Amino acid sequence: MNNTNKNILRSGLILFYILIIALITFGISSLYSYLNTGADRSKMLHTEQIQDRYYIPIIKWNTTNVEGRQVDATTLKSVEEDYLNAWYVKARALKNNTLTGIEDYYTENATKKVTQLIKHNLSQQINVEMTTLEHHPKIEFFSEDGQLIVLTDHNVLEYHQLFKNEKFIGKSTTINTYKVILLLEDGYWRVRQMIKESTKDGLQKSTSNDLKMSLKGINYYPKNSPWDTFGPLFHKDTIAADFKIIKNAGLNSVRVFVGYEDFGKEYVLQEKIDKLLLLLDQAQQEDLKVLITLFDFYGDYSVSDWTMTQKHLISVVNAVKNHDALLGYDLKNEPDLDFDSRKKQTVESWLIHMLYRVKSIDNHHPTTIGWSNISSAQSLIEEVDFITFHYYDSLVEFENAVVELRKVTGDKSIAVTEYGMSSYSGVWNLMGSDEDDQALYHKEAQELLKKNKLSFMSWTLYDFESIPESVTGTLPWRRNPQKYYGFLDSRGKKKSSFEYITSQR
Amino acid sequence: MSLKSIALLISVILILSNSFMQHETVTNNIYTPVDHQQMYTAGARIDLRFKGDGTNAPELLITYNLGSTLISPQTQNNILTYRLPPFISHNSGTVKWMLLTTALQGDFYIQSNSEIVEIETYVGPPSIIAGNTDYSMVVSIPLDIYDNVQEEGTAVSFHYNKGILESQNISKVKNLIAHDYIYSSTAIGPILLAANSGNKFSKEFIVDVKAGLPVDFTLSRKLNHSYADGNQLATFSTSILKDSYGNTVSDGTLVVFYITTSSGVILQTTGTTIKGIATASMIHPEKADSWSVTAAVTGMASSNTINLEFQQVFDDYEIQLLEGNRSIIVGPLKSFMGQIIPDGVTVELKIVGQSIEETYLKQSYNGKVRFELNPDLIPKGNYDLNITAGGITKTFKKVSFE
Repeated sequence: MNNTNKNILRSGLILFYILIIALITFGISSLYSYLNTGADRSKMLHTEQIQDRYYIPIIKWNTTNVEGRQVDATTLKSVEEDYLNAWYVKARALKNNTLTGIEDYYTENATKKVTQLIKHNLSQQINVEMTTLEHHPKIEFFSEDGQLIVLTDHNVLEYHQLFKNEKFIGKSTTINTYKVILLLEDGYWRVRQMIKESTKDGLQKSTSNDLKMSLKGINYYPKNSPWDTFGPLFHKDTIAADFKIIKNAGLNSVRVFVGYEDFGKEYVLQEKIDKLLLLLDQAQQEDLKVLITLFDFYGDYSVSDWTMTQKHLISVVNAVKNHDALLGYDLKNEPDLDFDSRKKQTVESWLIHMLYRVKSIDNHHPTTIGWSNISSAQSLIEEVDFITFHYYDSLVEFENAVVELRKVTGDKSIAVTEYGMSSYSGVWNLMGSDEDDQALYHKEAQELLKKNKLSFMSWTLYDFESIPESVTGTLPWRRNPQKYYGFLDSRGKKKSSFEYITSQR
Repeated sequence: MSLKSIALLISVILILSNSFMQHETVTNNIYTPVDHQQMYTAGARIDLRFKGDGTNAPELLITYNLGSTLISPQTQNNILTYRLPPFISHNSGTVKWMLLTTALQGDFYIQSNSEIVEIETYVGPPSIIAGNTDYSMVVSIPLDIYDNVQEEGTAVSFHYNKGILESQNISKVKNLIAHDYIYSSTAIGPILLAANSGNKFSKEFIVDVKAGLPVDFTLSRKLNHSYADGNQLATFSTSILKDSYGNTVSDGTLVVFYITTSSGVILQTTGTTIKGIATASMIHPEKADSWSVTAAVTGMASSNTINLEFQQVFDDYEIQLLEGNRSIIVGPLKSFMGQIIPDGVTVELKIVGQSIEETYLKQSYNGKVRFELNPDLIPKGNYDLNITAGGITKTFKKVSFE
């Protein structure tokens, strides 16, 4: 007994000793490696180029009839960069009430004027979030020595929203014309004078394009790449085969999702665009129309991010707008779910501005917003061409809700662009519905849709074997039901609900 | 408390809180603008007044040149007064206002104060070339006390002085600036200028008129003697380089001299101008030669060509072969008056034979050159020797080396 105790003590001491030595060694080595870190030689001269731009509104230069010297492309490029940076640092200053970067892009006198505004806002606890989405500068004058430029920036589309004590107070969208003097100082084109010449209320009304067909559609993801249609598993044959199934089932349209980050954010990847066009080609072959849902998985909405989302939008819309298979644009999937976390006013303003931008590029295809529920669909009715919402509630209340909605929608078409029921009845959902319940649900749904003459797009073609965590989270009782919303199971076999994929063939 | 009343209470709270949160709801126009103007002058007090109930008065959203802010009202006798802070009312430009929670909005223009306190002036380029083509520019921004640009059409006069000439030109503010061209003259010298508007003057500026591109010039030479002694320097100088208006070019203009020898080799030397004249030198050749020399300012101007003849300094020289012919002494080499030639004349020795072909070069010292031929390199046998100095070659056939 005594001996054992001694041994335990000994081994304990040895272990303790080893631990202490290990700690000391670790300490010395971290100190040594800390002392060996330091300035990177490659950064010694600050030669690194700042490549990323965080402010990329539409800017269209007019360099005709310049008084004085002619403007060359190199000068124009640096003027554009510095002028937009001047707007960017000012927007940042107004947002945070700090003066970072102002001195770089405003001359001494102009900096004083900006400082007065920032000081006032800071003292009153006012924060202004602003951005500009369009610039049309005309160079009026360029001095012979190349040091001074006067420009008139016509019709700058500007959005401001104001907060006082962190509470939303008001917003304004205006179209303004500025006269600006820029001076070349220390290699920067700095704003010397900026004078607002005129102002008018923003965003002209664009003409409405009604939905010209009655939709009998379905939300589509390939069965092996749910929520990642344009990912590495993309293959045109898969799409072609699935679209044949959809066509043969008697449907006429599909809804697909373009991920904001997946497509490369502000610099849209050509590879993704090619895939999207391939998908549209396959749809065209089967005579299906495609509703493209933009900005999937986007959730920022902050005003400082708008110029980037706008650039993304322009690239995608320009790429697809002439395709015959294009039905229209669903600007954003369920943005109302972000109202709480991202402020309703900001999200709504973003939607309004992005819808306006879609219209300004493509005025032939209708636009909509895929609201997550029928009551949210009453928002922004003026701005969309047709109204869409998702319905996962009980079918019993469906008709009444539609009647309520129709009271405010006027003549605009309404489509249910997501509805469905999971046939999952596993461990996590003992009381849940099975395949027969699902079939019954779709049977009833079809009857209701037909009776109310509503366009529809059901959720979804396939059951999925796995679902990305970003969609449903990790909780199994959330995740598993989401796998079984299909009309076909994950092997492609028809479930009993398939019969009720549409009632109108 | 019964369940029903709790539900009622909750719903009442919900409705109330909802009504408080409806900032965007447009209330009926219970406010009416009072005495709003379309135009103000920078620096004047700007009060925007509205008639209406002062309780829960809304804020006024102001957007001007540089951004947005909010203003809270002062209320008196049901009149709401929104006073613009100085940093807005001092700035010329359009100001837009929105009375929040109402549909009331409008805009007005603040024009700059007509009293000019400063003329911000920029001039450039600071130097131009003489003639009738080049010009500089002056740009003026007349400002009021609040740093606002004067309205379009404000006259700015530009005053110039060149030598005894004085002139004046009037330009009007357009696109925030007034500008004028400063044209060059045919004579060099500074142009002094200043701008003024109202009774305010800018400081004095200077634009320097500098000589233009040089025109063709002539070349001259200076030689101590015309013998090819490989020692003296031939010096070339240009005439005074001038532009087409007779102005001497700037000091430091680079002139390149090209010397073509009779064998077609081109030698080159350079000089820069001082007071219009560039000079450069070249050492005399070692044998009779004729040079033709031109000078040029690259891409701009060139000179005439001058020719130089160099005479041979000696017609003959002695050669001694000693120590079994392995020691060869050339000289004494004599110059044109019979004097020993200055050190450094090159003598070439070429040995051919026994499958060997060697060339040795040596410079004269005290008029002589001595070649010592190493038996390890040049073994025993018969060789042909060629010795050249001052362009004269002497040949020895089949000289036997011990």
